[in-house]
Formats: sequence, structure tokens, C-alpha cells
Amino acid sequence: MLVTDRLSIACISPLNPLRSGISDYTEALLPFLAEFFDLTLYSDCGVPANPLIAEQFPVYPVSDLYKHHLRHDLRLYQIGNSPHHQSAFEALRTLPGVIVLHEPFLHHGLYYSSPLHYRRELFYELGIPDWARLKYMEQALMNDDRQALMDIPMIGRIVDSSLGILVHSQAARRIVETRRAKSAFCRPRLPKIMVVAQPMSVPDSDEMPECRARFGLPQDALIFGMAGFIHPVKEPYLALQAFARLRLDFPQALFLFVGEVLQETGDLLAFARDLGLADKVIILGRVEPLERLHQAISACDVILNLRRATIGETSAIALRAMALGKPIIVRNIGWFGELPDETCVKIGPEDGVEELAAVMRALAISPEMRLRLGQEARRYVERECDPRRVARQYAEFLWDVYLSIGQSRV
Amino acid sequence: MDTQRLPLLREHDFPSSVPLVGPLIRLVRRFLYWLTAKWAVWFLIQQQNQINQIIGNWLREQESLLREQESLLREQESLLIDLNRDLTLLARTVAEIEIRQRYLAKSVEANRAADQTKRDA
Repeated sequence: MLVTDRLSIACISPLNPLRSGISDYTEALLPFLAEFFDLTLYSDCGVPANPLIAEQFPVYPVSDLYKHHLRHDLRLYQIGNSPHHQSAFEALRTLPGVIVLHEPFLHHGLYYSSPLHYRRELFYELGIPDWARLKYMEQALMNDDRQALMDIPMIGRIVDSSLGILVHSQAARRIVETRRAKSAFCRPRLPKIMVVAQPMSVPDSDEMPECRARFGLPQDALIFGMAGFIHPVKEPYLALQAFARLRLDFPQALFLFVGEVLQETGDLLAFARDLGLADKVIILGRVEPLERLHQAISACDVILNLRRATIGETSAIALRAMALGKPIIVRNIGWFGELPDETCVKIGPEDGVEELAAVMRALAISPEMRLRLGQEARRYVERECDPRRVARQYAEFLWDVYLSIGQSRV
Repeated sequence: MDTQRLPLLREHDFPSSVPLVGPLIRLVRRFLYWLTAKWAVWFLIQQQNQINQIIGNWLREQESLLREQESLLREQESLLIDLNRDLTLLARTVAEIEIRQRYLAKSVEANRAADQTKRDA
């Protein structure tokens, strides 16, 4: 018996104007996914900001999923660690589906959706109402102590209820499997898990001199950049300390922050002043739209994308820089450690200022090395992260889940 | 507040820290107190002690009730966690059954269409 119809898929995801990396992700993938499925979108975004999305797909609020759920063959949830997924977390309790788990760590998303629901999910994970543990976790959340929180990634119910899980790295897959193995509960069989690359289109390269001129940056400068939200976990202070070591040998070097500096990051400019780098550090703030962000990244020679601790996440901004042919410096940790060695420069998980300064220096003195790394990075993104390829992997997985459930015996 | 040890009200002792004549001052104060207020105050102290006793007993009862409720709540909370987990598994089973239903309905429809085509041919 062969059922060859197109599947009707309910896609539950934030969309722009909700500011989230997952909004951009979903919007980039949908046109390619639509080649395989009939898609209906459920999002609390109101009217989608992207006119192409609004024209091409029916969009409903997530609460309508309760009325419409029998219309669809499968539900596909895009889930990440942000309160933008609040209604998806609720819908998941009664209407499970296939989950795309952007990071296997949902503390912030659950807590800032509702502290009450956070408590419920924590006790679900623990199996007992452990109030002392709740207090400890809340404290760790306030201090953004990711190591302490990682012990319980808060994905228990999602793993238990989902019909299939898509993740973007082997590291994320390991976290899901480890969490399940650690659990003392008798749980249903582990759903199918598949690792797919994060989709990323390769934009046309912007000419560096033109990009620098747009931002008023000197043409002869050697520019190190850090892009995306500037959060302490991205180690901007370590980057500046390492950059300070290069000051004497590379007086023309600049450090450019391309993105919003979050409040918890503190005063980077004051720190730069203390290091004697006052005129060497530039903060552009949030750069919009996407084309302008691409130009800002293209204006840099090297992009630093460090993580003090990883929660199994991928970095869209790292992939974006790679797609633009920029050499990136990362830590050998989580998904970053899975990037091929020839596409980026990796420092160790515990390395400090000296080691970072050494690789920055190596890249600074060798334009050939920067060029080679950038080309390899771009080729890697073209090869692995092509949205058409990722959409095909999605399609194979969704069909696999659908057929394995549809054809199984009750 | 420790309701097991509610202190009894006592009369004031009228101490004086003045050197030498302190004890004399204390004696005079005590005498004046005895003369003007002792019986009324003593009566009020007795009354207040009785009220305190009643409140103390009531608080102790409430406290033990609260402990009972708390332990019941913990039991309920544990039960709720189990129910929550069962509900999750149930939701997953229901979702799987819904998929099977749709799959079977589509298969039946496809077979019916194929039969019709055959008959038409």
C-alpha cells in the first residue's frame, strides 16, 4: 500500500516581526519545504513582516491549532530557548509532533514564559516536588550559570512526547540521549532523532572596500569582528584582552562589534579604555536589515565567535560569516567543535588570552591563511547548509516518521 | 513566633540604676504603684494571660493543620507529576493514533480510487 499524497504539515514557529533567530531560520526554509509539503503556519507574530511568507502561506495564531489539528498529517514545531515559544510549549503538552530542537536547553524559554510552568516542568524532570532544587535553579537562572543549569536541560517532556526530533549537531543529539539515559523514570521509546545542518544561504560576496566605505572604516585597517547579540557568554572581554596584545605589532588593527550589546555584558568601551584601546574599538550596535549586516561582516577580516559554555546550540552568525567567506575563530566545544578543521580556527575549551592572541596574530600576519580559511568556510556552507538540501532532509525525516507511525500496528 | 512558649505577662519591677539611692527609689516607685494601679493592672494581666492562652492554643491547632495540609500538598504534587507524565504519554499515543487514522483513511481512499479506475477501464 502506497500513500503518495503530499502531506499536510502544521508548522508552529515564531516568524518576523518576532525578533528571533528562529523566525529568520523558518522564513529561510519555508519556500524550500513547500516544494515537498502543503504547509500551514501557526505563529503568534500577528501579520508576518515578510510579505512573501504572508502571501504564500496561510498563517494562524497558535491557539487555532487546537481547532485545526485534525486537518494536518503532522505537526512540526520549531522550538528554542526563548519565550517566543510560550504558546508552542503549551500546545506541545496536548498536541505533540515532530520537534526541531534548536538547542537542547529550555530554561530561559520556559521560565520567562511562566515561572509557574517552569516549576511544573522542573518537577516533571525531577519526578518529585523538590523546592530546594527549584530555588537553586532559579538562582542559577538569575546568574545565568549555564553549567549548573545544563545538569537538567528541561527537555524531558519534549523528548517524552515528541514523535521525532531534529537537531543541528551531534552535540545536541548527545545531550538529548544523555538526559534520557540519566533519567530514572520508565519512559516510552526514544523518538527518532536526526541531525540536519542548519540551513544558510550563501549570499553574493560584497566587496570589502565598498563595505568599509559604507561604515566609514579605514581601508588599510586589519579588522577583527564579533557579530550577533554581544552577550558575556561570547567572551567579548577575553577577545578585547587578546586584541590588546596585538596592538604594538598591528597598530592599524581595529575591533568591531556588529550587534546589540546586551545590558548584562557591561561597558565594553570602558574596558577598552582601561586597556588603552579607546580609539581601536567600535560598536556598531544592532545592524539591520540583513544586507547591511552582511556588509558589516564583510568589512571585517576575521570574525570571533567564542563560547564560554555551550548549550548545544548552533550559531547562525558564525555560519553567516562563513557563508560570506570570512575566517572565524571558535572554541573546540559543542557544535563549533564539529566544524571541519579546514574551515575555521579552533582554540581549546579552556584556553585563555595567550592562546587566543596567538591565533589572532597568526591570522593577522597571513592574508593567505585568512583567504584559504574563508574559501573553505564558504564551500562548507554551500555544500552542507544549502536550504534546498536541508529541506530535502526534513522531508525525508517527516515522511519516515509519518510512515513508521502510519504503518505500525496498534 | 514559637507558640509553644508564649511568655506570661508579669508586673513591672521598677528598677533604678542610680548609685546608692537606687534601691530607695525602687521602693518608693513600687509603693506608689501598689497604692494606685496594682489591683487594676493585676486584673488586666490575668485577663490578657487567658486571652494569650486561647490564642496560643488556636495557633498551635492551625500550625498542626497547616503541617497536615503541607504534607497532603506534597502528596498531591507528587501525584500531579505522575499524572503529568501519564498525560504526556497519552498525548503522544493519541497523536500517533490520529496519524494512523489519517493514513488509513488516505489508503482506503486511494484503494477506492484505484478500484474505480479499474472498473471504468
